[in-house]
Amino acid sequence: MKFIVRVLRVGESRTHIDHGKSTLADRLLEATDTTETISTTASGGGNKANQRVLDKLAVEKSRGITVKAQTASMFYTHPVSKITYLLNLIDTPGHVDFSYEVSRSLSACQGTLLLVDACQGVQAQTVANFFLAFSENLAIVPVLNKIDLPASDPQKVLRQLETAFDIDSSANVLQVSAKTGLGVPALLERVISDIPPPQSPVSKTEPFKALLFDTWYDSYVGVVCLVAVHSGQIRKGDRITSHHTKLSYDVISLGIMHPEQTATPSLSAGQVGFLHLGMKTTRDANIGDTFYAATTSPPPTPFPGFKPAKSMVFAGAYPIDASEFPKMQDAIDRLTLNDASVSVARESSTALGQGFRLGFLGTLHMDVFRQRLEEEHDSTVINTAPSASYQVAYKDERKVQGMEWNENFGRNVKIIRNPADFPEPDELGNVEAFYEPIVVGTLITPVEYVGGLMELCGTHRGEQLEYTTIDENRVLLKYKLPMSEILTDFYDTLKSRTQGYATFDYEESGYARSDLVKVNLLLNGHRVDALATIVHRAAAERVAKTWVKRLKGVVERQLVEIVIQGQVDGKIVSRESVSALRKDVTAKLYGGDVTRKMKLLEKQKAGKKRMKAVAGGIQLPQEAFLSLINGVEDSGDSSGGKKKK
Amino acid sequence: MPASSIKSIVSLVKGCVETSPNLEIALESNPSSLSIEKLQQFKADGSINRLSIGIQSFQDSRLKFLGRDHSSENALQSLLDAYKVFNSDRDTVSCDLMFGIPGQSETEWIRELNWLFDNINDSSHWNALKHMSLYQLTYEPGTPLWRIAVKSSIADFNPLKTSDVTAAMYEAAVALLHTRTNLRHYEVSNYAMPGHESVHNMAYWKGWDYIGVGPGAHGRYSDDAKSERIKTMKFVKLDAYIQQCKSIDANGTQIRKKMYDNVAIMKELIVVGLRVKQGICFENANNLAFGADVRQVVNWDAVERFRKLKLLASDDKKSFLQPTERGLAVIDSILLDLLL
Ligand SMILES: Nc1nc2c(ncn2[C@@H]2O[C@H](COP(=O)(O)OP(=O)(O)OP(=O)(O)O)[C@@H](O)[C@H]2O)c(=O)[nH]1
Ligand SMILES: [Mg+2]
Repeated sequence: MKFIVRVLRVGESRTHIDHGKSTLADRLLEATDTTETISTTASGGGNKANQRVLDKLAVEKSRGITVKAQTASMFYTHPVSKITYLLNLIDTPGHVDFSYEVSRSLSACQGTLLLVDACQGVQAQTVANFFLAFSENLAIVPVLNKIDLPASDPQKVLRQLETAFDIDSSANVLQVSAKTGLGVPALLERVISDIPPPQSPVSKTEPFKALLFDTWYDSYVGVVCLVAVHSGQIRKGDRITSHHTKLSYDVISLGIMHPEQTATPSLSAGQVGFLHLGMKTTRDANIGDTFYAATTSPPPTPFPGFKPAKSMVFAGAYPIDASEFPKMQDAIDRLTLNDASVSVARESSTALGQGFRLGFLGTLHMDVFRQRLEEEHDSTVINTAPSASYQVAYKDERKVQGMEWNENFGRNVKIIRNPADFPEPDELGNVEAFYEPIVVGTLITPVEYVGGLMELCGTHRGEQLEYTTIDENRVLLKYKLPMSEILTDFYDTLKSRTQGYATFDYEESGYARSDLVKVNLLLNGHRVDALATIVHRAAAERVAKTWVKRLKGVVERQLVEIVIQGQVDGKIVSRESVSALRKDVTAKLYGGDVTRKMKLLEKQKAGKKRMKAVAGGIQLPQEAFLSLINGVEDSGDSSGGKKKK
Repeated sequence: MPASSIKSIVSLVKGCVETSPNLEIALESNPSSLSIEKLQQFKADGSINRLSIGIQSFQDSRLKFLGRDHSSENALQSLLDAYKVFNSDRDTVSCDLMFGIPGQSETEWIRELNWLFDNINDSSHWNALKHMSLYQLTYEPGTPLWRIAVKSSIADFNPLKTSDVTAAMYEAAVALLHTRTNLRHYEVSNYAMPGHESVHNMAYWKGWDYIGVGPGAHGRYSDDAKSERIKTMKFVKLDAYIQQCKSIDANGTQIRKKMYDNVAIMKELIVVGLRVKQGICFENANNLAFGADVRQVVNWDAVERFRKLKLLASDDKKSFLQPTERGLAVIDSILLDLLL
């Protein structure tokens, strides 16, 4: 294909979850003939119109949210000038838990479409994220979406944009419907006029240099690298070097995402495309790495790379069957290749054996990662309840192993990411102070729910920082909250108390001293390390009681009576029991029934593989560990999910 | 079936194989098809010496629920008649009853059993009470009974699971038969006076060979020369079965065979063997598995755990494995952990 080498990238960037980014991406791909156009106005086209081709993962399809930024290249011919442009589109997630995907994508963008739902208006995420794009010096094109809906109120939202972001409402803000495609041609013209081409596109004759900004594992070709070419050109067979590993590779094949991998003869400065390099291990691919022509001498200055993601919540991940540990290691290696925001460390548990402590950006991120491990890598995982990362300062540091220097406190602390590492009762005397992470949460809510939300924040140890009326019926609240408080049912309660109208976003805000204790759960008198949690002293008894009840709810009757106890500071504070199974036997088993019985047994045995034996043979279902934090009803889809109540 | 047919079948079989002097010839029957004359013919002409009567219940309302065409009154009469006719030492009359019928309570069930024992006692047939089968009503998904059960939404009733109510009925029956009768609990649902256990059923549970004749019948036989065990299954559809019987090379009966692999043979021996109180003697079981060590399919750590819980019994030499009374009641759960 012939096209004018003027390359643009469109970052379709962070707006609130659900505002229609992925749907708009569908329309853009269709308008540029990248994908086949599907009639969206015809009444029958409803389903297909909502296919969101860039939400490629099973988890994105099933949850209806984007969790992974996806790139697509499209060719666009301007209706007036007849010039053909190559546009690179990146569809990004809207949920705060996947913000790492966004910040990564911004490095490959010149501009961003700020999509705002014309019915819902400005949301907590819109506020937080507008300023991020702004600070990156990107061209921002505000767009109102969903104007096909009768409930949309563009005028009101324009006024909100003006108050919140100082965007001049008279500046002809585009109004589109991602569903029907209305306004999409005008939007494409606006992209060409408002978003500049990449800064100083360097000529093809310069040596090749590119930024590695995404990777994934493909079971046929192995590691696939997605690069943004900064200078020069690359062809099949060229030899390139990784700055990070110093390893060199011959390019096996390359091309653009159109929207699937489509081979091209070359990639040149300004383009985004994929490379197959035949990397031996996933460890050789490092997001943020610089690739350059192997012949370049001296090697060029590398790109600054990406700031590592800062994990907010930690949870243990264990294979159900101990023998599957190596397989799980593989699965995690491959998945973290595609999600560099997960931190991984090995750990072991008396109850669960060998496993990992994984760090996530939030609980939705954790849920999605676990689901991807199962769906994409066939690895069934026991996920323990998430925990924040706590810090402990000791009076006599010599008695303690693994102290780390903490810049902010100006002293050594021990970091606790796993409740199992919490000081034992006999060590508590040596503890000088516990510290817990704090966040500043932004809530935007219709005014009638303010009371309920203030109460919610109150019971979660929140401290109000701000109360702003943003328009006649909406209020913005800012609260200081302990991180651990928003890991539980906070988000779900917030959604249910406000019929789904309130939105919540947060950012970390250091550590504060806190009176922490550990709650242990005991099964038939045995402490199960993987069922412990760290909480504020004031909540300890309540947590010990609810957790014991919740565990009772998920434990099936077994051959022995199971006594479940909650323990705080070595004292039992709650108790429930599950009586022993009295009868489980087939009434009739004669000649003709045997074959069926054997088949049934094999089936039941297979079902039992999702059970984990702990504390003297008591079997807990895979979900038991995680269900503690959210209650039984919520276990498949814990906090942060897209639940419309 | 007329007694004359039974007679000709018996003599045919006796002409083909050598039979033992205390051969058991058993017949299953509904109470409605039994009269004194018929019973006498079965005994005399058919040389039947074991008769099981599918009574199911002595409560008319329950019989109606189960779709049976007899009344409790004629059920009792048939049973007492059978006791009268099959009165020699080697004769056995068994009575099948059911519990766990929706609406039935533990009290009603125990009252029913006591009422039956009182009647047997009052009619002076106490010594003829040599065998009983007490089955928990089971629901097969998809059957009309299943649908009725689901619809009737009886409290504490879950067709998929044994409730505490049915568990209590089972336990109460075990206890009652133990204290009030001479019958011994020898298999999950079967009780017998020693020496009157059902021989043909024990053959299934011990893993012996058996031949099944007729549509839908199953069989197992061992080919010792090849160390193979063969499963036979006859056509379930009558037409197909008749066709098959007529063709010469099918030898009249067998239509499908499946070879077992050795692990399957061994697992099956454990599954059926642990349904009987006597349990599994590994020396015998190994012989049936052509000399392989059946113990290799057993998770002995789990056995240890169940021994401590007094659900299984074994010895340190691992020469046998036996369910205890409590273990028998939950043997399906045990098997899940027990089999490797
Ligand atoms: N009526 C109407 N519905 C729309 C429009 N655009 C998107 N939607 C619907 O809004 C919902 C969310 O759309 P998505 O495209 O998944 O939103 P998103 O911004 O990509 O969401 P995240 O990726 O989770 O942040 C879907 O049910 C869409 O069908 C529109 O213009 N009109
Ligand atoms: Mg999306």
